[in-house]
Amino acid sequence: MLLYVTRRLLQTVPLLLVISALIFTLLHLMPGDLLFRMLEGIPNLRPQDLDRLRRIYGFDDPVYVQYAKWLWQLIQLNPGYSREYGQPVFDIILPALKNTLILTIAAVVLGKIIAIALGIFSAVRQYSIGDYVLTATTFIAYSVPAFWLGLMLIILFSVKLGWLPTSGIVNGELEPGSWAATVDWLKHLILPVAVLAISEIIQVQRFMRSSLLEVLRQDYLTTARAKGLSERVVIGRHALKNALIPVVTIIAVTMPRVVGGSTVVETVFAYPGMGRLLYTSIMGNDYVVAMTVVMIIAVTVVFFNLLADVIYGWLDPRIRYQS
Amino acid sequence: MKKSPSLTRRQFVKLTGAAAATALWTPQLFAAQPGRKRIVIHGERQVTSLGYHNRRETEHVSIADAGLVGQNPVTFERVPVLAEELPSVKKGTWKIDVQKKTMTTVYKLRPGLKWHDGKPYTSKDFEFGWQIAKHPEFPMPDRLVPEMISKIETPDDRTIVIHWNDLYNEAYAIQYTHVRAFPRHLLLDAFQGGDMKAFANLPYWNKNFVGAGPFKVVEWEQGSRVEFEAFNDFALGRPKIDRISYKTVEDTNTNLAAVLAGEVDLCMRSTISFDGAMILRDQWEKQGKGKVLISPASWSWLSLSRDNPCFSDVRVRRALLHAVDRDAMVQNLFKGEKVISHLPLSRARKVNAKALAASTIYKFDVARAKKLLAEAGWNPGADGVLVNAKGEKMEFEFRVTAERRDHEQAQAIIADYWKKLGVRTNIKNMPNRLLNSSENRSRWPGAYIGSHNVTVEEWPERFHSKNIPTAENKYAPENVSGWNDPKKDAILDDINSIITPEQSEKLQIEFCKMFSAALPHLPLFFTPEVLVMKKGLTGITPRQESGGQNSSSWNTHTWNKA
Repeated sequence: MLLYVTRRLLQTVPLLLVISALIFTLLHLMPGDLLFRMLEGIPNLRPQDLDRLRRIYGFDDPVYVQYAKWLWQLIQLNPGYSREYGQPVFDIILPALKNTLILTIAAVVLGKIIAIALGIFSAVRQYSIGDYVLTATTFIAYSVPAFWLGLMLIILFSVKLGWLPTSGIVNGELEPGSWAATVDWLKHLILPVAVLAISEIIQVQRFMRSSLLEVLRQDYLTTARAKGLSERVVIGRHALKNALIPVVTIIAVTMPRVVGGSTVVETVFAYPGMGRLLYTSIMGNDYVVAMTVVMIIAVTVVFFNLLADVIYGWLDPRIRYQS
Repeated sequence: MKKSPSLTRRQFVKLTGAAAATALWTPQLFAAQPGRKRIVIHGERQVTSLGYHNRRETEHVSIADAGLVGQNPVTFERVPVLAEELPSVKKGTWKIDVQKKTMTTVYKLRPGLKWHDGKPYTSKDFEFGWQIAKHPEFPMPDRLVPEMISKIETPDDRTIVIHWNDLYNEAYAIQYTHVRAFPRHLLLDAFQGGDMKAFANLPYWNKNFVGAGPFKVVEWEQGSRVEFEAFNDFALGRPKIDRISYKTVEDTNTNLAAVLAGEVDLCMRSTISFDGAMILRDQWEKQGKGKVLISPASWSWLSLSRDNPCFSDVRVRRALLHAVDRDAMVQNLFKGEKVISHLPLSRARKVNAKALAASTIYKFDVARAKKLLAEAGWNPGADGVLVNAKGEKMEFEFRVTAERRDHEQAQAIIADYWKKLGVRTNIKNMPNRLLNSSENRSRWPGAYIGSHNVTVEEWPERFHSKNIPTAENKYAPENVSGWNDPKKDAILDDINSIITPEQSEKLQIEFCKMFSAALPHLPLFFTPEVLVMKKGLTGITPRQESGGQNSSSWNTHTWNKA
């Protein structure tokens, strides 16, 4: 296993290099001037100013030189400064990453727990009224866009009921670290977490249901029942572990979202996370920030795919990795 | 065996409910700090910097910093802020040598000026600010004014003597966007260190900003929120508001919800869409919860390609304007807001009525349009499309910015009017970033609806022949209409020189007359800018035109909250 993991880790190096080169090229192929945002609304801009700014920001270098410079800085874990914010890239990314992790981990944990519970319920009570209601609700919820759902929740809980704030992350007037500030922060989290959690539930609940249904038809469960085990033990101890195997894949595939955040939800709720940062940095041609965010997401994708493979082996002893 | 006391299910639910309710209401209880006045502003644009460089907005900068002079965005009057008074020719503090094209202006700082950190603000700080602005490695985009200054002398801590190497009619009113002071005691060492990249990226320019404006930065959450506290030693007196929380919320629907939920005191430009403003007027303003102010700020025009021979005859351009019922279009687009435009001149300018009277106004007149086109040699062909003697059809590409709803709607309406006239258009819209690329920002094969600021001070940049974009100047200048007329250039040169207000007014009228005759752009409408303020907020003056130094936050120290 160790050899397998080491080999897979080594394989990720050229993979990440290819990804970085590809993304760098794509970002540079995007239409529009790299200094676009800076040029907006400046009528006095002269050609010599354009040349000067291009030189200062290194945009006059050939693209491959710009890529090499950026890659070298990234390897040294110092990807340089954000042109838009005028701060070191990691100083901008780390607070956004922290915010996104809080938001998405809360949503993923909550969403997955509810989804697995609902999936079990649907499978065990297949073709019951509860199963039909859950199936219908899931399909309806699946077709609702996140931005619309977010706005509807804002209208209900913020505008109509006045219970929760519409957007942001804190009320700036409260003493940071105080009880009031903590509660206020939690209140700001409720709506975006709810929207993300609903999307998690929709995705995982259906998989959990079908996976468990398949397992429930297996002979070894009939044997377990014949031995006189209670239904709770049959499902909880024997069926669930095997039913979770395909669900693990789904969870692993969705995990990069934990790091990458959700651009739509973070924008609707003005939540200062990675998704919003990625969007604003791409729109602002702040490609050093955009590249670094995308690379962090790429690393997460590769890592979680590897982790999913390892967990497969742990969950299913029939799966053995050969180096 | 004795059973240990435990909660029943009902008791547990009650207790949990009570705890949740307490938690939900706790922040409100703590937030209510008696006697302190705080306002929450929502803005659609991120605060990224308060310095000279990066992307910065006048609204943000004028909260935290101040210049020698400010500008009232309603009357356009220049008002001294950190300077005691404006330099004047009469008093001898503004000396002009027309022959040599040089000038000297003398500014006297108000006594006892301080930076936000309590250190004295001196004339040397202003000179230092100029040194930064003109440093070739410092990424300041617009260096027109810094480069017009040849030398700054500081005979004492309060006197600034500026020597100019060119004539500049705004030399008597240097504002923070032109040149401003920066604290030498904080920045001099880093500046002299020579690493301008590191200098330009100092945290000073945003989260550690120390300025001389009415509010100081106390908390900076990158891209999301900035907290400002009143500066007790501000030159024009302590602000009446104690704290400003500025939040960036890009989504206009979320901003609308925040206003309806009562979370926001003020939404400045572009934060609420025009449609959102109409909803607020209906559901919020009528209930006395606040005011929705709409001002015609920037100017939307339709430009016909200077490279397309179809449009070289002015009669064609006139006909195409006559063919559009702009009154009905504007009524339809902006729900009765009177924002129709005939000239590149703000309605708020005093000279506007006289300029309109002197100019040609193109009313909706299809018969006149057809006559003009026939005179220009364009007559309907067999398929109804206009055709000229060479057999060329009046068919061209029609572009607008894909994300701009008002322009897209105007495009559809105009294309329909033109179709009835026998003009065929092919719609090809592009996203903003593509249209503003160097390849497209000043060139289009057919028609294009664009917009820009309308300030008289920016006319030379927008309309002077020397500012026609070409390959040689990398398409950077802004006279995208390509209007080339030496007489008009002479007027623009004079407008920018040192003249009396009466002379300036005459020139502006003459320019408008020439504009309406030549029609380099077809004027459409002034884009409404929405400002929303909660009941009880006073002192806010929405800007009447975009561009220049106009900012609705020019006087934050006078804002108050009941």
